Amino acid sequence: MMPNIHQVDRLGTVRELLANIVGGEVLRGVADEDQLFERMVLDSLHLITLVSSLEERFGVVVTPEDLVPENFQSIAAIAGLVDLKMQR
Amino acid sequence: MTRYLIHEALADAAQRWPDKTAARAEGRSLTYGALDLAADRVAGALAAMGVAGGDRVGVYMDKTVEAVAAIYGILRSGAAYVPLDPDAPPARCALIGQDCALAALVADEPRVRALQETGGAVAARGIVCGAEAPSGFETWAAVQAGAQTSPAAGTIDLDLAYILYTSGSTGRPKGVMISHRSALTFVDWACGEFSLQPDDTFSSHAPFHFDLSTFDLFAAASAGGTVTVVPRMTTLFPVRLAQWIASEAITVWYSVPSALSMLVRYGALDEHPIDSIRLLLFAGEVFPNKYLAELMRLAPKARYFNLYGPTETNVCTFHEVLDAPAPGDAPVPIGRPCANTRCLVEDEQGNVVTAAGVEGELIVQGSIVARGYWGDQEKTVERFTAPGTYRTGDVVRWSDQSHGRVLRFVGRRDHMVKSRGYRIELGEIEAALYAHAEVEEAAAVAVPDELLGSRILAFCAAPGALDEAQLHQLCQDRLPRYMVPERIATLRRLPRTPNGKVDRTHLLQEATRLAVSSTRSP
Repeated sequence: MMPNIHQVDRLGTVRELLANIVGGEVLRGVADEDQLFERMVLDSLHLITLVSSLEERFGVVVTPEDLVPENFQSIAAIAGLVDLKMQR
Repeated sequence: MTRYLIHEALADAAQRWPDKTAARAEGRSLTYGALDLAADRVAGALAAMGVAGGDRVGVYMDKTVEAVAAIYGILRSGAAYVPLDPDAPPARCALIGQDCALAALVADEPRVRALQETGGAVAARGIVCGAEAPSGFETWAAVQAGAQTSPAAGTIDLDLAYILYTSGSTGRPKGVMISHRSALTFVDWACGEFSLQPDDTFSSHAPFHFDLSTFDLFAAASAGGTVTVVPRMTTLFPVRLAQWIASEAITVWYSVPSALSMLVRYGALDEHPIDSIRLLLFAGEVFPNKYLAELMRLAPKARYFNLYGPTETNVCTFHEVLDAPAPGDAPVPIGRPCANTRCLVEDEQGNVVTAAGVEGELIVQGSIVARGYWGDQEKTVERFTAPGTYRTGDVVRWSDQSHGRVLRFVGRRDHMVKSRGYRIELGEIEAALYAHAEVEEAAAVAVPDELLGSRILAFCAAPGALDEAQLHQLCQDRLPRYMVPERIATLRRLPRTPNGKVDRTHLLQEATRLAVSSTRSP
């Protein structure tokens, strides 16, 4: 199934937010499905900053239980978490 | 039996409990017997490569059981180990390797290559964890399959056990030289004070290049307990960390406060209790009262200790937190000196002050103190004013409490700020900001100013929006007028250094951008 326009937007926004935190240079060549934790060193500050910016940009609340590796392993996974949160 | 060297506990434990788990990392573990043997092979291989007593050997690898064995093997060879930050740029590690003239290196294969690619001349021999060894190196597997055993190295307690590099004010890393005697003074004190037992399971949260790790490694072995490395991914996800603590049945935890603040804030600890912990130690920065109190409520079975000491003194004072502090209280004391350690408070005129409440620089004396900075005689004599004496640059004061006299940390000597002639403690401003219910993190900084001495700005972080005017009012309600920050910027999170401390250098840059210099005013 082709992703709809909102989902494409979402991927772009997540990428942009992540780039603001780790630097655009680091994200260059990282595909949406690539494993982030294998490709770069993400520390807890990055992660918490990312959570804050996702909450701010999308108006969602990321709970402690959402903060698990599966939801943050790729740009697509992060966008998926946001989709899920926005449906609620 | 009296021990003189930091690694002697391993051989003792291997004799007494050969089948007991010594170290666990990423799902793999080594018994004391296996660790002892692996360390012996490393020591033997290093000796065969020409490593001799007094040499330095780098450890540049992930926190694996091999890294633990490498550390013991290096010590057994008579050399000092130099842990290199596996996440730091290779160029910085090369700089450190050159600074202390590493004789050899134990490293992961990609990291050896990265180091060699920097072009810096760093240790052309050593042991590599990987399938292929570059020229001059042997693979870990070959070393372990060999029959080399470590010759008696003739090490004495005044020899160096390790060198820990910390960031230097001039931008060049400083190598803090810790002798066996210094390290063992700390470890022996810790084992006695905390009654560490063979059935204790120790977390290893801090990286090996950070001084908190020496407690995890050597106190665990000294007690005959098990040290368990927190997996990297687990450190990032607080709920996972809470679950990990429970599944590993950690009994002794030691970390920087910010890791614990994260656990309180995002760990859902009421649903994921961490009540296996009997001893909860923290050090490295001030633990915000609101998170400490919340942690004490969520994990009430543990005993809580604030440990204090710059890398140059291991840990030199300690304080048991018996009652949860209230948000507006002063930070918990740094406490009283460890065994065989003397703390002197010296005022600006150079007089030792003993009266409670008088501020002065903390000077630490005893066998717990480091030997100086590697290759930097100038800095060494400036801070290590006599053998076994270190001027911390930290301002403290004695405080009389019902159960005795304790030291309270006031601030950095070089963070002591004057504005318009008034003396200002930045920590006091931060404490005022923390009184706001929504504020999760606060930091005040002083921007040097030609006319005023300095201008005070503050940064606050909160999950929701904060009203700057309201924070300003809060400060005005609590602080003398001259201490009220001129701007209070709000952020989602305060920036942190790789070691987890609030990145004040970064904040100061931001503050400098925000502050309007008085000399530019009309």
